[in-house]
Amino acid sequence: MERNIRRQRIVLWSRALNLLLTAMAVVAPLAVVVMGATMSAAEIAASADVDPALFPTVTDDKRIAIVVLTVIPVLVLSYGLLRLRTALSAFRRGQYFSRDVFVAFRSFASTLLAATLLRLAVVPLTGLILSAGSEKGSLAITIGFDTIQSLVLIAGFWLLAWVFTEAAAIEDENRQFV
Amino acid sequence: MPIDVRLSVMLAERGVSGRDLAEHIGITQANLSLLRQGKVKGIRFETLERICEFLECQPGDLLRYRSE
Repeated sequence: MERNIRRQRIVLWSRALNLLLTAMAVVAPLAVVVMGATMSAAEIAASADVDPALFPTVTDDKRIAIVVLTVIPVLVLSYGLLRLRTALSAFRRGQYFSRDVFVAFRSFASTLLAATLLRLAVVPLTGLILSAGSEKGSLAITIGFDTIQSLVLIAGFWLLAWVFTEAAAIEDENRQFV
Repeated sequence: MPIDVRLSVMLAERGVSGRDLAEHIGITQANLSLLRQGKVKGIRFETLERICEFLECQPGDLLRYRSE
């Protein structure tokens, strides 16, 4: 395949992904807010891994607190998606190995890691908010194999992005040799 | 930087153009210009060898250390 055709395809896919990422970054937090505002008490309790029968109603202040809590990891992820657009812009310019690309990748991996860790805390904290004022309550963080697998993969991606950032810096320096 | 590149002097002494030298080394005139102004981080041995070959000189003729 001709290099120009490949480049055109990269530009096209980068543009499409750029639009998709922007849309996701905007829509995802809004969707979480809307969902949180319209969920029934039973659904909220179920999402917090607590018995829905214990919480037949959710007060407005608790609901607002839960929505704010739930939207934080999504906002972090949205920021990561927006940072990833820097890499796509570089791809559109044909700069596949520039330092900006790998810095954006590392930034994305960091936000992904932060969002995953924050999401771990959301479930028990939601339960805590629900049970605030109750006589009894418990707090437990559950980490499943899926979460560990995600964390390892994200850490690997972060490390790769870091190494490539260093490699790009070396390449930049080498380019200044004649 | 306390290293002076004397490439312009050497070219003038020998009456040869930068374009011919750039062509002989295999680098662009823009890069040769940067080298002449000492605005590069380093010079490859391969480049140095080609310059010395073209100008019939020693590496020491091209570079001078200036104590600050």
